[in-house]
Amino acid sequence: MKSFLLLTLALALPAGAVDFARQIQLVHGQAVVYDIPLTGTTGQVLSKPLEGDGAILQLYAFEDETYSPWSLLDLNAGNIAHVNLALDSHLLDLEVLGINLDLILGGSGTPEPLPQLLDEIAVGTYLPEATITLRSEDSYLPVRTRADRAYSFNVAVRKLADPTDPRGGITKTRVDRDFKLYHPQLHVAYPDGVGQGSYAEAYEFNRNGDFTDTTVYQALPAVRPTKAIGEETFTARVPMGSTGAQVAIASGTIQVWPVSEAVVENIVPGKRYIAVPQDARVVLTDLYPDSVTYAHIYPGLPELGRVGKVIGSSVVSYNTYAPQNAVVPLSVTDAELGADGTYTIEILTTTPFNHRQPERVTYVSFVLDRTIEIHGTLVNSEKK
Amino acid sequence: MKLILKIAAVSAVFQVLASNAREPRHSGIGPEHLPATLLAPANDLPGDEALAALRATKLKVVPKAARDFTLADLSQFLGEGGTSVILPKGSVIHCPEALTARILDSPGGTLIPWPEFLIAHRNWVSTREVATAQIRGEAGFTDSDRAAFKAGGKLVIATFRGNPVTVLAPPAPAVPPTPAAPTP
Repeated sequence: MKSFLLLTLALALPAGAVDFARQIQLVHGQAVVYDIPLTGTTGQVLSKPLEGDGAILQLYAFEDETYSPWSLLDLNAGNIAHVNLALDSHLLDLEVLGINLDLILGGSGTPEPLPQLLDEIAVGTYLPEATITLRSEDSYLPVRTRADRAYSFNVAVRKLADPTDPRGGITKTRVDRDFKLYHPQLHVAYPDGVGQGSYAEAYEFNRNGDFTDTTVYQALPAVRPTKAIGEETFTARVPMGSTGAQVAIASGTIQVWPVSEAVVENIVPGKRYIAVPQDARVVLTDLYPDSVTYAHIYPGLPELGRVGKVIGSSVVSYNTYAPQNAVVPLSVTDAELGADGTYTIEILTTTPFNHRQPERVTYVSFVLDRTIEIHGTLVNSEKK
Repeated sequence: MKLILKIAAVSAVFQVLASNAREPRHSGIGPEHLPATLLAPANDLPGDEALAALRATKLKVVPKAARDFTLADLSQFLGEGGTSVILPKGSVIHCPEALTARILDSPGGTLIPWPEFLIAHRNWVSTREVATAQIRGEAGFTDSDRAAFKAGGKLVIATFRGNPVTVLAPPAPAVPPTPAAPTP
């Protein structure tokens, strides 16, 4: 039987072109490898006739040192370069990486100049088929979520053989869950397989159908769970051919970005001020890539659910790929404020989560007191 | 008059289209980036303890399992003068004695894509288009093929539709089964 397979290689990758596709076929238990050079990021490949047990298709890209953030790191001496040295030795620097792992994750010990595997799929007439879909409240592609938000996992399994079928066949598929940690500032995976691992739990499916788990929380091994940064990948595998080698028939990846933080500087909670200090500002870290963050002010003590007056100078909006940091001033003129008393400044952020209803990041209260008291005595000296 | 009506109709269509197409939100600083309606905050962002409580079970972390089909296992490399190329294992079908040192087990120097490597090293690398049966190891090369490879004096890479491919070795000629000893 000869059949042609038309593959559409659509890559949802931020950077880096695919350099070649590798097709691995098992013929009489031996691997026949066929490399197809590719240019561009999308395209179609007309594969050669499929015969035998099936074929594995892999997409590879050569690492481009010009665009690699890691080569930039090497140029910068100092603290960050030190981090890189620690990475090269494959010892995870606990303080810098925020990882509470004793084991050395992945990594071969020597930097691999080999092209990187981007994606892999196995196809064949007698191979089961699967589709893995990961979804979060954010509709952005590539799929992403915030560290504190659950996402949904769905696997559609087709063409698994019935165990009672005398003709045999593959009767179950195993779904593994792997992770890759990202560098907290560069927002990319560490080179040479560092910071990668798997979770011990795996799911096994022995029936055709759709299986869904609507509440999956990221489990990245970070010291602070809200600051987890990386990606999680679910891969469905089946044994192929007489060797029983595990091949991937479907996979899905979700990026996990940290929960944002804010620090109000130069306003001391509870202190008396005659005006909002000129140098008051907010330091915002890890703002969600799709977010609008702003400060608002209202009279009274902190109370969740109030709508105050937005401080115009503090509004910062992002619609991008990776988390962002910002420092914004808090400029409030006297005319914008009412009577003296306690005021509260809250930092709010709106993201695709919570139906874009704002969430409070932090707040600070202070006392506004414009009355100027002069302590003194009036002395009248009169000569008699 | 008709022309004016036409223009009005076209502009009306464009307005409808423009209002339907959602303008992507831009990154920026300033009050103009505020959402259209300001809502009250519903909750605080969760802290680490709250999130840890949500994730009831902590998953055990293990090193990644080794892959069954790794790149290096199924590859072989050619290299000369600081550049090398990755090729399918078993794609070298003829190699003159003098060039054996240029077949490498691991990349030597910068890896470049195969089309570039072939152009740069045509003086010692050539290709030979092979048939499906040869790839599958069902048919070998003829003696005249081998003579041609030898006469060329170059390293020969098997290609299928212009791209490098593995060629399986034909099975050794089957030994005729020894006739079973007649049972008395």
